[in-house]
This record gives sequence, structure tokens and C-alpha cells, in this order.
Amino acid sequence: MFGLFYQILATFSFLVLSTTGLAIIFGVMNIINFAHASFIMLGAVVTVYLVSAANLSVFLAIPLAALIAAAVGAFLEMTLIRRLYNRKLDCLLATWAINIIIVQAVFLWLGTSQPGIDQPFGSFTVGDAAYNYYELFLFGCAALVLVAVFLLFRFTRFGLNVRAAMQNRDMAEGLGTNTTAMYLKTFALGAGLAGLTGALYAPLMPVSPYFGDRFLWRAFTVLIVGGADPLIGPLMSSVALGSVYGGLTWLWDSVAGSIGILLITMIFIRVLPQGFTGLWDILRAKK
Amino acid sequence: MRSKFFDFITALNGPQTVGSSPLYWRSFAIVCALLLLYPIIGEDYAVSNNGFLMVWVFLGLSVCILWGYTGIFSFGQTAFFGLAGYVYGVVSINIPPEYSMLAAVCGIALIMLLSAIVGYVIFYGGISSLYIAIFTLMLTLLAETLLSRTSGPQFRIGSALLGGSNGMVGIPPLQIGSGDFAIVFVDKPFFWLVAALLILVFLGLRFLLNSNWGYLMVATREDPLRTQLFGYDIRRIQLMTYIIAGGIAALGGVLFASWNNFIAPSSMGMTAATLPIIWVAAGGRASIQAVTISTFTLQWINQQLAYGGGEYSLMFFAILLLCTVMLFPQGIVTTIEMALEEYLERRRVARLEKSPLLGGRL
Repeated sequence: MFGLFYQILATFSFLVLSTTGLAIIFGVMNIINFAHASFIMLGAVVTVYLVSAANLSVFLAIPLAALIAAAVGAFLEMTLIRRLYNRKLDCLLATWAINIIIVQAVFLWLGTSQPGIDQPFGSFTVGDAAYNYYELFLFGCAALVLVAVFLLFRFTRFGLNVRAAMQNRDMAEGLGTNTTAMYLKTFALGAGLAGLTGALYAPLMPVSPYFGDRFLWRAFTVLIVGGADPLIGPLMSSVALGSVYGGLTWLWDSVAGSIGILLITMIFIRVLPQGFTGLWDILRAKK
Repeated sequence: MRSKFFDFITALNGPQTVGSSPLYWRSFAIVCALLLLYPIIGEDYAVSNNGFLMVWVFLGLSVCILWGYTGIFSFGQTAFFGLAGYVYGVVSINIPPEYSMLAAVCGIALIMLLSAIVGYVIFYGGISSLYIAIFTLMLTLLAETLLSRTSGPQFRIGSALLGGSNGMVGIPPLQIGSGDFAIVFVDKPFFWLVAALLILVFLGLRFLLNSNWGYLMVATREDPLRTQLFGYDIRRIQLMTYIIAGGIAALGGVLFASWNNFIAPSSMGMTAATLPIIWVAAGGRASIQAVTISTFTLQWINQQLAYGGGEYSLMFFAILLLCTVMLFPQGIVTTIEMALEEYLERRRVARLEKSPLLGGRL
């Protein structure tokens, strides 16, 4: 029984961490950032490099990697993405091209495989099975990210401006909000969170230029099922999908889990196209 | 007789496609004739290879009518392309070679059914176009993941082994007739088959796009809400277009599997899903002619880059996509076409100005 609990917890943190950066950019700017996977990969590669070549501690390397990913994101926003805000689909194509360019650049520069780095903390046993403390640490990080996002959006000046622009961009601009600077910060934040995710998972998985791919389609699923709200969306849909995927994986295998996620997504698209965000709005309107 | 012929041509002309002048149709006829004559003079290998490059055009056209004409951005046509190859493989391995056309029909029909199901979920759910992009990409990657796990003898359908990530081997080529009278579509016959099908599909699409249905597709792209307010069910328009596009992609997939004798899950991977988007974006999404030209050209370039190692091929395509989006949002071929049209128009006006009838008063 603890196995099931652990599996759901691990899937939940995986989904929350891999989606939050994507969801913030989508929720605030209504852009799907296809370069998300490459930011995740950058975070992981930088972490591995800092730990294995510069001999840094993992816990110093992880935030540094996130900052570097945020800087790359900010640079791309200023040079390219800013010009495409009025062309949503072209924006998707541009970020997709950026994704391939970053992945191929890393591939040409470093080759496919990277040295592994040791997993911090040890493991513990419950019954006969061994579990990692690091997974619990990741769950803590996921919870921390969600709380931080909530605090940022609810209690800061930046959060207030962002929520205003989400409701009505023109009105917010008319009242003096600098949306250009706000979008820059939002994109950098999203990219930084993606980098953080990659950095956190670098000790758990083999790092390669294609590291981000395994996060990408699950992040998309969470985004579809979650909807546009950058907090409600990832939280509720990670709980739901995490339980389904974790449960089915625990019962059968990960193929069953993937198919379960696909079916849930299809049902959501058909019944609740706005995802959990839509459900939340309906429930709030009823009150 | 003559007027019937002109009626036929008129039905193929319209604002939705490039080219309607007699000059255009004369050049079109010459290109078709050259295509059909080419295998007689060409070498076997080159003919076969060029036939293979044309197979991709079906995939490009499929993305083009969805994205360029109806405004549905789909990454999933690659999945239909690959799955059609799988269906053709499974069926054709299990039946005698003289019935392989039946396997092709099976592949296309099943994929059209599948696109009907997927399309129903997408369009009748009413999700936004950005969601359609990520949902179809998700389906493609999932199809790849699931098929990669089918290695081992337990994954067989009849005598066809699915083969996991190595793919399914031993797929027979298309064939008509049996025994001594059989035409097996390899090398030159394959080229003729693909060229004939391509001309048919191209003219068929020109007919469709310039019919009332084509106007509805473009109206759905330009303003879905307004089209709906005029009393059209845009969900039905989108769904039907999706099924047609699925059929065209499936036709390409069947031809691909029959040429290659082999199909693998990597035909549905991330890279495979990206390339059609790049052909269409770089060519010019709102023109089937631009997409036909750009698909063939870019696949040829892809092949040349692959001979030189292939590491830079994807990088080249990504940079091409980025440049297209930033500099030529309408597509490179379309930009050239427009420049050419402007040049011809200017020359026509210049000639008119010189003509004694007008006396330079234009």
C-alpha cells in the first residue's frame, strides 16, 4: 500500500514540476511555449556540468542552473518572442524552432551522453521494497513551487498586475501597467521554473540533449486537463492525473498508465474543454 | 466537347489556388507530361528515389489543407501517415500479394475512421486551436511510445510481427494482377503510380478548394464565429476536412511503407512530426502548389544533408523555420510567387502603355 502512495506522490511531483513553468507562460501570455523541453534540458545539462566539472555541490548547482535557464529565456523573449505576441500560432512555431535549435546545439557540442551525478540522500525501506529520500525531497520542492507561485500571484504588486492583464490586457495597459516588462518577467520565470525542473531531475535520470522530451507530452496533458489558470490548473490536474497514472502503473505497468492518461484527456477535451479551470469557474459561479 | 473541357478547367480555377491563366495550365500540362515521361529516360535508382521524395508531398498537402486553408494546426498527420503504413503492412503481410491493393484501401479507410474519432473529440469538444496543436502532438508521441514497446513474439497480428522500436519488416510492395500478368509497383512503375496519384490528388484538391466547400473551409479559418452566425456548422466543416486530410496522409503512409518495405515507430517521432510543419510553413501554408514545391525540395535537401552525416540537417530545418516565421510569414515559395506575379503584371501594364491604341494614356 505504501508503494501505491509513493508512486502517486512521485508522479504528482513530476507533473507539478514539469508543468508549472509552461502553465504560467500559457496562463499569463496565452502562448504555448514549445521551447519548454529545451529549458528543462538546459537546467539538467548545466547542473551536471557544474557538479561534475566545477565540483559544485548539487544544492548550489540546482538554483544556479535555474537562473541560467531564466536568463536564456529572458534573452529569447527580448530578441524573438516579443515580436510575435500578435501571432499566437507563429509564436508556437518560433518557440518550437528554438527548442530544436537549442537541443541540436547541445547535441553537437556535447554529444548524446552525459556523465551521471550521484543522487543525494540515501534510501529507506518499508516492508521489502526500497524507496528514495530524494523523491520525498522532490515532493517538498513541488509543494514549495506551488506555494511560491500562489504567494507571488496573490500578494505581490507583480502578481496583481499579472492578474489584471490576464483579465483584460488593454485595460491594464491603459491604467499604466507596463505589460512589456511584465511579459518579460513572466517568460523568464517560466523558463527558470523549467530549468529548475531539469536541474532537480538531473540526479534521477540519464541526462542527454533529449532529456526534456520525456517531460513534454506529460506537461501538455496536465496543461490540457488543467486549463488556463497557472495555479489551479497544474495543482488539480496533477492530483487527478498523478492518481490515475500512479495507480495504473502500480497495478499494471506504465503503458497502462499512459493509456489511462490519454483516455482522461480525451474525456476532458470533450466534456470540459476549459479543464479544471473551467470546472473551478463553474463551481465558483454557483456559490 | 471543347466547352466541357473548359468547364472542367474552370471548376479548377478560383481565388483559393495560384494560377488560372492559359499560360499556367499549359505549363502545368508540360510538367505533368515531363513527370510521366521521366521514368523512360531516367535511371532506375534515381527514378525510384524521386518517386520516394514525392511520397512526402501527400503528407505536406494533408497538413496544408488543414492548417493553411481551414486554420487547424495539427501535429498529428504524421501519426496518421505512420499508422497507415502499419495497417498496410499488417494486412498485406497476411494476404496473398495480388490483393495488396486491398491492404492499401484498408489502411486508408481505417485511418479515415480514426481521424473521424479523433476529429469528433477535438472539434465537437470545442477546444482552442493551441490545444489542438498540443493534443495532436501528444497523440503522435503516444503512438510512437506504444509501438516502440511492441517488441517480442507476443506482439503479432496473424503472421505480421510489429517489431517494437526496430519496426515491422518484410512489407510487400503494391501490386496489381497476379502471376505473369502482375505489375509490381517498384522503381519505375512506382514512380508512375505516385506521379499519377499526386496529379489526381492535386487536381482533386484544386477542385475541392475552389468549390463551395473550399469557401467554407477558408471562412472557418478567417472567422469561425462569423461563419457560424451565417448558419454553417463549423464543427462539421472542420471534421470533414480533418477526415479528408487524414485520408491523404494515409495514402502517403501506404505508399511509404510499400516503397520502404518497412515501417518503424520513429516515423511518428518528434522529428517526423516537425518536418511536415516546416515544409508547409516554409513553402506557404495557404497554397497547395507552394507546399508541393517546398516539400519536394526540402526533402531533397534533407536527403543531401543526410548523405553528409545528417547531424546538421535538423538544425538547418529549425533555422529555416525560425527565419520563415520571423521574415517570411507567408512562406518562401509564396513570397517568390507573389513577386513573380507582380513582375508579370508590371510587364503587362508596360506593354499596354506602349500599345498605339492607348497612346500611353494608362
